[in-house]
Amino acid sequence: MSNFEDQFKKLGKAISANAERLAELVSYAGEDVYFDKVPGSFAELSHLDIVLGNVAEGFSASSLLMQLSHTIGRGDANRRFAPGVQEWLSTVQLKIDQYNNAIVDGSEENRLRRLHDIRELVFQMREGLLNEVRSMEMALNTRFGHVESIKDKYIENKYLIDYLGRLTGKLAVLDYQKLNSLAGSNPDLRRLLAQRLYDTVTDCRENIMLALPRLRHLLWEIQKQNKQAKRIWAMHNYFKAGSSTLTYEPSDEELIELRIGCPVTRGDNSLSPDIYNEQNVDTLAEVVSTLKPRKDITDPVVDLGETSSFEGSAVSDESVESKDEVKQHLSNLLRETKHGHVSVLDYWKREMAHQKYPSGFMMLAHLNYTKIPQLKLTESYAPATKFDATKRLNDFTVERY
Amino acid sequence: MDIRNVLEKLYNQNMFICPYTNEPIYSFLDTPEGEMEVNKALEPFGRTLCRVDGTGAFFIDAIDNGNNKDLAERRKQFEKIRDDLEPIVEFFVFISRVKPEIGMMSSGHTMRFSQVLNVVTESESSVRQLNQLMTYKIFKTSKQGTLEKLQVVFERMVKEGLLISKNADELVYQVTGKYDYIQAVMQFIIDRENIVIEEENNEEQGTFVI
Repeated sequence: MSNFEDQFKKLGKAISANAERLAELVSYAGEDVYFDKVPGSFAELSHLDIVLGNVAEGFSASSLLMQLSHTIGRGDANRRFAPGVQEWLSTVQLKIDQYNNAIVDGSEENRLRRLHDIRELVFQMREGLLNEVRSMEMALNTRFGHVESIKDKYIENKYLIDYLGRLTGKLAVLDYQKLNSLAGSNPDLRRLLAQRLYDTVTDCRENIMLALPRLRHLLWEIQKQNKQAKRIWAMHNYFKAGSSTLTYEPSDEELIELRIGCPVTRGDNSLSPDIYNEQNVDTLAEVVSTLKPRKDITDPVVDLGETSSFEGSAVSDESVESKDEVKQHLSNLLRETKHGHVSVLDYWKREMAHQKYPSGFMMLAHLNYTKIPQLKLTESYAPATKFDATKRLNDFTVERY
Repeated sequence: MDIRNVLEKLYNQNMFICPYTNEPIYSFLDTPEGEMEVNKALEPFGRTLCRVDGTGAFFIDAIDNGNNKDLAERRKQFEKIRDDLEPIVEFFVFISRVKPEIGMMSSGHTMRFSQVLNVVTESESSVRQLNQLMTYKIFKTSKQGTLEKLQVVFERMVKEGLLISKNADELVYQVTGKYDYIQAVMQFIIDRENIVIEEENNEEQGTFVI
C-alpha cells in the first residue's frame, strides 16, 4: 500500500467519524466552536489543517474545509480559481531555478521532486483557468435567467464583466513567448509550459471569444434599459412640471422617417360575402341560424306616470366623446386641405360613415370653417323641387387661399 | 404557417408581433421566407412589414409614401400615441414605485398582478398613486374598489398592446415588444420638444451604469 493511499484511508475514516462536528464547524463559518470531547481521529483533521485550534481555545473551520463544503453544497460554484499570475510566474521561476540547479548537481531525486513541483503549479493554473471559464459560461447561460429582480440582473452582469476582465488579464500575461522563455530549451519544461499550459490558455481564449457576443448582448441590453428608464423619467418630470400637452406636429417626411407605421382604417378591411356563390350557402345558413332574434323596432309605450323634474345638469360620457371625435375630425379635415381642396361629404363618407347622416357634421364644419379667413368654402346645392322650395346644401369643399 | 392568421393579426388587428405576444408568428416572420411571403400578401393592400429598431417587434407600414390617405393614417397613429403617452409613462412610473425591486420595466419583463395588488392595498400612498392614474382618460372607470381599479389599469394596458397576460390563473403580465416602439416615439418627441434627459444617476430612478 502506498504512503498516499494509506493516508487517504486514514483521512476518510477521520472525516466519517467527525462528520457531525465538521458540519457544525462549517455552519459557524470560521468562528470558534467548543467541543467537550473529541475522538482521537479529530487530531488527524487538525494535522492536515482541515480544522484549526484545540480543545482549550476552541476549534474553527479552515479555508480548506470551507472550500470543500462549498464544493459539496453548490456543485460547480466554488471551484478553485486560477492563482494570481505574477505571483505564480515568480514561484514557477523559483522552481525552475531549483530544477536547473538539481540538474547541474546531478541529483536525480532532487530534479524529479522539483519537476513534480512545477507540474503541480502548471496543473493548478490550468485547472484554475478552465474552472474560471466554465464558471463564466455557467453564469452566462443559466444564472442570468433566474434572478429575483432587474437590479440583481444588473449587478450580476457587472460582476460577470469584471470577472471576464480579470480572466482576460491573466490570459494576456500567459502568452506563448513568456511561457517559452520560462521553459528554455529543456524538453520537459517545454512540454509542460509551452504545450500543456499554452494549449489550455488557447482553449480559454477561444471560449471567451465564443462567449463575447452573448456578453455584448447583455451589455447592450443593460444600456438599452438604462436609456429607456431615463426616457420614462424625463417624460414623467416633464408632465409633472405641468407641461401636460405635447403639441409637436411632425411633417409627413418626419413621420415616414420615424416609421410610425400605418394601421388600416377601420371599415376599410370589411368584406361582403358573396351571397350568390353556392359554396357560401351552408356557411351563411349557419350564421343566420345562430343570429339572435331581432329586437322590435318600436318599443311598447310605458306609462311612466308622474315624474319628478330634474333640477341639475349632466353631460354623458358619450356626448363628450362624440364632441371630441367631431372636433378631431374637423382638425383632421383641415390638415388634409394642405394637399388641396377637400370635399366635406367625401371626408364624412371616408372617415365618419359610422354616423347615420352627414348633416350634423357638415353643419358644424360649415359653422367652424366660415370663421377662418384663410379658408375658401365652395358650396354645391341640390336644386329646389316642387316639394321643397329652398335649395338644399349637398356638399361643400374646403381649400386654403 | 397560416398566412391568413398572420394577416389577421398584423392587418386586421394592427398587432405588434414580438416573441412575447406570439412566438410562432414572430419566428416565422423572422425568417427571410416568412417575411417575403407576408410582404407578398400585404402588397395589394399597400402595406409592408416593418420592425421596431430594425430587430424588434413586427408591425405594418404603408408602401406608398405619397398616398395622402396613408399619410393621414400615419399622422393619426402618431397623434394617438402622443396623446396616450402621459398615462403610459405614469403607469410604468407607478409600477416602479410600487415595486421598486422590479425597477423600471422593459420589454420581456414580467410582473405578478397579485404582488402589485398586495403592495397597493397595504400602502395609502400607493392607493393615492393609483387614484391619480385613474384620472387619465384611458383608465377611466366607474369602479370604486382598489382591486377593480387596478384590474382596469392592467386590462387597458393589455388593450393598448403594451402588456400581455401570460398566465390567466396567476395573472402574470409581460411587457410586450410594442414598448420599444413607444420608446422610439418617445425619443422623437423628447428631441422635438427639447425635453431634458437627466444624465446623472438618480437613486429614485434605479438606473445602473457599468
